[in-house]
Amino acid sequence: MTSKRSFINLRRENIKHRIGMIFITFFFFFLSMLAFLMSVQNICGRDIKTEEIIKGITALSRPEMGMGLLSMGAAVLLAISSFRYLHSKTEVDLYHSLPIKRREILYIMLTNDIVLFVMPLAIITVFRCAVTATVGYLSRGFLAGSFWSVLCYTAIFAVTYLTMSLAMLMTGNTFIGLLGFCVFAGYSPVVLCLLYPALASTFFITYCDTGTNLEIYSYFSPVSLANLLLSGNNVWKWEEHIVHFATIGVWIVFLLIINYLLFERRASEMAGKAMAFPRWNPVIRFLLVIPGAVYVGLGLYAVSFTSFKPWIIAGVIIGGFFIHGVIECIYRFDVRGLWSNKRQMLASVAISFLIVAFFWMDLSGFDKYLPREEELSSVVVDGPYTIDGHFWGKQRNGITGDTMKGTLKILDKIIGENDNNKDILDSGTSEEARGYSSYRFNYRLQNGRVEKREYILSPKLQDEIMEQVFDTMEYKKDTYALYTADWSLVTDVEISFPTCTEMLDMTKEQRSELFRIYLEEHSSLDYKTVKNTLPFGQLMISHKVGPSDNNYYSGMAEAETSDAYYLYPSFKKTIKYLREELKVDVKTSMKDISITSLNVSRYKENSEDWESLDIYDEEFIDSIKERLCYGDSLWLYGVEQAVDTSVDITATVKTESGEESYVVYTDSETVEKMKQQGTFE
Amino acid sequence: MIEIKQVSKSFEKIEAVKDIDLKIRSQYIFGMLGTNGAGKSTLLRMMAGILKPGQGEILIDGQSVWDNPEVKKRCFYISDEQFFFPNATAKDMATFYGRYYLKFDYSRFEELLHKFGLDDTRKIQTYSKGMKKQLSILIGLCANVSYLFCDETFDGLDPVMRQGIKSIFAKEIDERELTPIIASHNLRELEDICDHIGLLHKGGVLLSKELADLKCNMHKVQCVFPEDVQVPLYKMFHILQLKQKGRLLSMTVRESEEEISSKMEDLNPVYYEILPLSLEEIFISETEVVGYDIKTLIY
Repeated sequence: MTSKRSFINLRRENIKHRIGMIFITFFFFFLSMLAFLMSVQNICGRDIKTEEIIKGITALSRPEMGMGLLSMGAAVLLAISSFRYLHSKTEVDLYHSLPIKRREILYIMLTNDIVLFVMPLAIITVFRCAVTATVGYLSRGFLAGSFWSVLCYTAIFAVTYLTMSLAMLMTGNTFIGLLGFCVFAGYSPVVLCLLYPALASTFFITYCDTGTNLEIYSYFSPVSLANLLLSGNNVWKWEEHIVHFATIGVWIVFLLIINYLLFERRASEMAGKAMAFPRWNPVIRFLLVIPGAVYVGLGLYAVSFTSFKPWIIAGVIIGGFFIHGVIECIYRFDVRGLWSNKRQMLASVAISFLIVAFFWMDLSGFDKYLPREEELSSVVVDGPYTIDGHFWGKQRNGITGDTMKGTLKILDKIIGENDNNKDILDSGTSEEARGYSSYRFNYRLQNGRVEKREYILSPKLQDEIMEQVFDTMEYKKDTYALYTADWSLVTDVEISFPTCTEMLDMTKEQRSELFRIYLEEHSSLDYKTVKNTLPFGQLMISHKVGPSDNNYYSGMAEAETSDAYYLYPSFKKTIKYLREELKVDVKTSMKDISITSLNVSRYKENSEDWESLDIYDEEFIDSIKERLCYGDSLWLYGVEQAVDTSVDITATVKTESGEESYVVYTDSETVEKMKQQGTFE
Repeated sequence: MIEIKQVSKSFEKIEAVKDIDLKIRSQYIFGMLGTNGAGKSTLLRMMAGILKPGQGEILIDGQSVWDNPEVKKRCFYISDEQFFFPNATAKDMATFYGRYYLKFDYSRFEELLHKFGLDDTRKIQTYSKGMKKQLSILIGLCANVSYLFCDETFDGLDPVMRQGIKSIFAKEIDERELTPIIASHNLRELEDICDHIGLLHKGGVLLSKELADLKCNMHKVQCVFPEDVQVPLYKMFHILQLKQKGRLLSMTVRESEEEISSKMEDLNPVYYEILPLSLEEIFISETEVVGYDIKTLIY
């Protein structure tokens, strides 16, 4: 066994031959120091409060992506420079003939590389603290941030380094080693993660992937996990990354063990070959060829504008043969290897076919799936304009009890008609497809799983399902976030009604009161009213993004969005409060507004061109005024049952300053009357 | 002593070394002869602990060499294409090896460098191929090890240099019991240096003998007997090869010069002459006996 003293000598000797790597590592860290200096100078130079400066400088100490990428880059380079000797016969002969145990060579390389990374990292951390102290903003928060940064970057370095070294150990050529690293890094979060969604969205007509949590795939890739460790909402918090840290720790231990075992077992004669453990070659080939062939099949189908599914078969054959051949050529470093191992090639293509066939023929019954009543705990119903991620209220619980049972019966019909409805929406004329919409249903099962499906509903089925669910508080709480949201997140409330939009200037108490009164009236709103009554205006509620995990805006700094809440003539208390307490001159109808003309436009049948109709008949306009409601595209959300969206209507209104145009909506009956006023040109 | 016991090694489907049993005594210069692909380098790399035998084991002074630093401290492997660090000088390489071979003799290294005319401040990458080979031998010698494994190290060295190295080897063998094991495909180069020769072919050992034994016990005899005399030559001599041209008989005999002379005197031939055999001729005869045509094996 080598003594401790000679180990130091051997490590020093190893370092001596890696001057280039030391220079590169230090140079990049030096650049990061410069970047830090510039950021500090920039923050200190701003005309902002001291607390804001401290906040800004403290934020600089926290883990961030730039340094994370630098750590990953350093890890890859250091691992290559250490383990590259295994890929050269002459160097292997030199190192493996030396009187030193193999594991000691590994130990020297690992410890030296850690020192080569940690030393400059420690230096720049001390430098950063010194700079911050010099400008007078060194805080406990900065020190804590620096500590977590060092820990994060070291973990990222270690896991990336060990992944790269594993790739170098498993191969006999540095280029192939780099390819191997890419496979280790990307196989789970890219190849596997996207395979199911790609197949399901191609073959299952009821598949909807929004909000599906794919993060789990990142846990199977050490490099992707390192990326997760750095991600976060605006401010990096260690509490949010405990699981990532723990998983990276497990990966580090696992990779250390596997690296050690492979280093001990790696045959010296594999230097210069493509792969160092030929027994694993078929396994690696299968793992790459099968998904690769499926992707090529789907790719070819996409290139054909998803017009002809047999292209998938052609793609699987071409992809299977090609990818298998390329891997064989790499294994052998010989283009003539293209047709080697034909049996395996055929087996891979056959398995790829089976996978495609499984989805194509829907052998799992995905599209016909309807859970049994006893399996279900609730059903969340989303209309066509509801986006999961926009919801900023508390958790959506879905409908339960008798409403759920009734919904299941309607769903049975929906599933039965779905194929036909999909055809109508995709291939039918615009007249045939009018009113057809997609609805999403989340089946929450008793076992905790959630199955999501998207169906195309005819207007009749839409009515049936809405009549079943709309009147329940469960549905309203799931659809209108204001019921359960944290109102302190609200930033602004704007009111819009015919020809007027204004920001409501009110206290927090007034705002709460407005919301309370509005929701009281909204909770008693029934579907019949919604379907037959046009709202006269809307409350636009702007709010910060909520804490929901599946938030659409997750990761966006200071994200804000807004929801529309409609005002119906029946909301007497709300109108009264707006008028009397908030002094808003609320107009509940367009009947007192002077409309000089109406322009109705629509797409020409089977064409991308527009045609329009202008109506100037004052008498006619006066007769339908009350059926018009003012709005923009946001109106559609939630009132789609009442308005006819097959045409765009613009009303020209006489105002004090001249004439102005407004987008208006109306119901189907009024649209039909308008169409009879002339011909579209 | 190096003991190679039933050692085999395959590279995927190619069997490079097959069931080799060999003993190499200490303080001998062992020459390992064979064609390209005969398994010389593989065997040497296994002896140096670089490659792990697929089967069997290699013992050096009674201990297995594989991943055993205690044994490897006594061995130095010189590859056919020795690796030198980029931009390194001879001195840098000596420092590097000195970290691993704690008995490395730096003063002797300087002395030998000077003797061989190698500049220790010049980058090795500017050396000629022959100079690099000389440098690797010098480093190996100065590492002060007991076993020096040289893989085609002498190929390409000029005869003067070979003789110089041979005399250093002789001195080292006397002074500190060095055992050089030299692999080569060139019989004439080994003949100058080695005491013991092993012939490898297709991964196996065809023969392994001391050079002196081979030379002393094998002779070429040319003789002419009277016309009416019938001589039972095969009964009297250990004949490996016999050729007749008219009345002149030429035979290769495995016997000492004294034994042949005494038997010839008894037979009273018209004429006889005993000639020594070159190493090449000895190998041709020996391998023909075991059914090989040496000319196709070595040349």
